[in-house]
Amino acid sequence: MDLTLFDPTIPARPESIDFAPRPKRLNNLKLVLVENTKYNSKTILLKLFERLESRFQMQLTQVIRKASAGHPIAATDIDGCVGIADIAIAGIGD
Amino acid sequence: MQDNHLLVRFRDTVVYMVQEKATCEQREIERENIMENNRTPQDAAELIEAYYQKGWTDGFPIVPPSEQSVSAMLAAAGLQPDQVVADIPTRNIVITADRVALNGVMAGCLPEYMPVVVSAVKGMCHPEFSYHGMATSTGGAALAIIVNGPIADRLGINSGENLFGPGCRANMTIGRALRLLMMNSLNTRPGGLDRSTIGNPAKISFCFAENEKQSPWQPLHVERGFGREDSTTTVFACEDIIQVYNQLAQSPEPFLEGMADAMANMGSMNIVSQQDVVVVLAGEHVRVMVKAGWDKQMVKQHLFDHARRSVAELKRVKRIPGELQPGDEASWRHAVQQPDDIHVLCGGGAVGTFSACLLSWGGSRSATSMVTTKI
Repeated sequence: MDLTLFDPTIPARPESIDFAPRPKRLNNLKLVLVENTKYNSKTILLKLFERLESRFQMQLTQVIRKASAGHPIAATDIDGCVGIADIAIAGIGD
Repeated sequence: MQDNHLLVRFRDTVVYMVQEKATCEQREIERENIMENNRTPQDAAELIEAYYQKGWTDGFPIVPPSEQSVSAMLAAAGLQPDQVVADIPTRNIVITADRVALNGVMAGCLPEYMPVVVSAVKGMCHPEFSYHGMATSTGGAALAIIVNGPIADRLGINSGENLFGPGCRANMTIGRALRLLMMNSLNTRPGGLDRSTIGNPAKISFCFAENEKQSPWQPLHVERGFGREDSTTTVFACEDIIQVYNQLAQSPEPFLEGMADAMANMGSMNIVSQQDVVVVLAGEHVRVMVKAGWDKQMVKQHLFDHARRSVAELKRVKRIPGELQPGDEASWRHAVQQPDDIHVLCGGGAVGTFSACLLSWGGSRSATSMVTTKI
């Protein structure tokens, strides 16, 4: 009998991501929220914005709604953030 | 506080977190780790144990693959080992034929099952199925594989008694091959990228064929645009399997109203997401429909009309948000958006008064879609 162990795993392809530079200050930033269709997630995002607005005078410029929690954000939605967002906050989970 | 509990402070909010760990890992029995000791397994039992120690099983013993058994699987589907079968962009993973074959052998598949497995893998990786959500969710979605066409008979895929139960090698091993691939090759392991809160035994394996011989109606794959002589798999993210019992109904309406009640149960994801539902009618219930002269469209329409809850009911049990409003008592939310979202098919034993509905996983309508793929 062949007593070799066969590896059924598949390594994920490595991917490099270019991160946007982090803002130096939070004051007066333009904010985009990315909500994932979950009610509680959206509630927390909006509550978070309330605090950021009152403490740092952030402006909410757009709320993007993903197709579902399991979908990545659409590329067109990311493109649409150019010029209107300094930072984005995404909701995850329920 | 226990070791696995954490308190995390975020500004003025303290979040209490539990670091999850499957209980079975904590209680694993001490035994020699063959692989860590760099020892070659001495016999089949040790080889099977080595797969356990690598974490490459679903909890049941696997069939150890060999060069020959993997080659036979590939040959049966006419595939080369490095041929790309599908990819999952959200996982950055490309699935090659050799990995499908390996997991198929490990699941206990015969080589002849490989084309069915490959077809289901393609369906599972189709963008409309949206793998990541159903696989990772705290919900407990099983990957249901429905086989149609001549291949079901040829391979002996069960469409009759014990349709969802044990006993048929093809059903058990084809479904298991997909789950092993999900776990081993797509990292969909409990505690890792599979975060089901309670899970679902059908996650281990869930494959069946439509009983086309018993059906007086068009089979599922023909309704979905394929020819009757085509063989297909249809993959469906199945959150719940509910058996519906009625031995007294001699006409369609009373039986279907029981089925509609199961479809619209207030704890289901469906009543909020309005995803597709699969209804499997077994022999005696099919005969009630036929005797009354009902076609599939009439069944769907009746189910649609009755599978609903008032907005008021759903607000009272906090399945949808908001305060009660005037008109909520007379405003209805159906389990699906339209009658054609109900997929009626025949299956199960000819004797007995049990049928079933398979409700979908998904928090929203767009979370996932059924995908049918030609074999």
